[in-house]
Amino acid sequence: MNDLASKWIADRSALPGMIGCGVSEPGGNCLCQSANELICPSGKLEQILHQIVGAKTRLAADGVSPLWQTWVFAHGKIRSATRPDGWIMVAVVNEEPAGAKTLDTLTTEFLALAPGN
Amino acid sequence: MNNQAQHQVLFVDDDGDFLKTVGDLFGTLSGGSWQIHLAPTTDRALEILKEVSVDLVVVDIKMPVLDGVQFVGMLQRRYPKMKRAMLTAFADEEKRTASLASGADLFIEKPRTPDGLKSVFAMLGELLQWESRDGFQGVLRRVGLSDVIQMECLARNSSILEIYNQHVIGRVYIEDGQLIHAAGGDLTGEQALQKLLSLPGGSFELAQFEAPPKQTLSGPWEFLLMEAARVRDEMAANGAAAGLEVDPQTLSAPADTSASRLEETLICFSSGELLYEAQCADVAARAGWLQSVVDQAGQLGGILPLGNFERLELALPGGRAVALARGGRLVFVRVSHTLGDA
Repeated sequence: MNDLASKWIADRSALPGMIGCGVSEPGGNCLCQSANELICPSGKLEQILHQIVGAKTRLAADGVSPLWQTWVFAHGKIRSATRPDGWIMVAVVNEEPAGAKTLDTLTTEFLALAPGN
Repeated sequence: MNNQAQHQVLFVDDDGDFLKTVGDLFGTLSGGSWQIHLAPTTDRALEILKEVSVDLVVVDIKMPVLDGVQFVGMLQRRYPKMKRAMLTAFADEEKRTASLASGADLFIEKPRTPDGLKSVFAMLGELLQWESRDGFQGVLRRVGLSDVIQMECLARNSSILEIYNQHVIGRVYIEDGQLIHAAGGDLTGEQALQKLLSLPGGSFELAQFEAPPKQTLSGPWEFLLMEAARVRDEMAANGAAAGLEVDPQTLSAPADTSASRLEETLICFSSGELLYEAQCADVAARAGWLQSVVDQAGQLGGILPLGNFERLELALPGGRAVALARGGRLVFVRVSHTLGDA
């Protein structure tokens, strides 16, 4: 994982409503940052990231290729976004409105980021 | 017996600690205007109800023998004028819908903090102040307008949902289970519906159906409610950032210059049996995909306990799609943006 991606993700864990986030590079390596290891250990974030990558593959097989997708649950949301170069971001926030705003901020930043460079 | 008490309030919960807490705290907060009765079982509650004319009963959903939903249903039949509220430690859409369908006037998540208990006290106090009217009444807090609209549509009822605070500020017309018109302030149609469903508070009442002055809504009610939910989430996010809120008096909000065109709709049972379809190229494939979404949501929920799955939102090139599973039915709606939206 390069420095830019590592620094970007490390700086995002304190955003409002954030539970945790992670990025996966095209080769499969990933880096996850939990905002609270007790609530959401980084290991679980990695599991979610792998699950999302699998879901993305199945979506693509059905002809659905979203720019981003949000899994909305009663007590939180999981957003994943995919860049054209294959990098994938996953963020988990709580159900508060500030969490939804955080998702949009993160997505915009991630899609504009150049982590592969 | 407290001679100053204006209201008789009965709490039914098998959690003795919780009963003691609300008994002490709500007694203090009410300044003696509530006579509070505590019942650790539904049997004991029925005994109290025989002795006292109770104004409000507050029931925990999870009760042994006869659960809270069944109990409230029975109370509605035996004591139709008594107000009923339900409490649960873990609120979700399924419990909320079941509670409202059983006759609860209010559905509240059990608070975990002293401030939360004070909020519950305020909500119950508000419920006690309701005047009896013909028809259905509610308060827009935990009991959402969407819940009422869903129940009316599923029952294929015809009614007018009037939303008001001191004055009527909006109306939603439902005919034979279909949303046909919404109006509020200067808005009509989907914009009015979305703004009304985004209101942070207020009251509503179901009135007898009359034909609206015009028809401004069409299409499946599931789609209209889902789109309203999406807009509400976006407004909440944007409002939190920019200090924007809907004015409940006028429903004024920044003009929305975007428009959407419905591209594909599918509603089916979990078994795949088709209920409704429009412009869906491959119904079986889409139904299979919806089921896989539900499976994946279950797997994600198994990793992190985020509560019940509500929906999957997809941002697609030039549009959006929403998939949801509710009440044994799967729904997929895809729209394209046609104006003013990047």
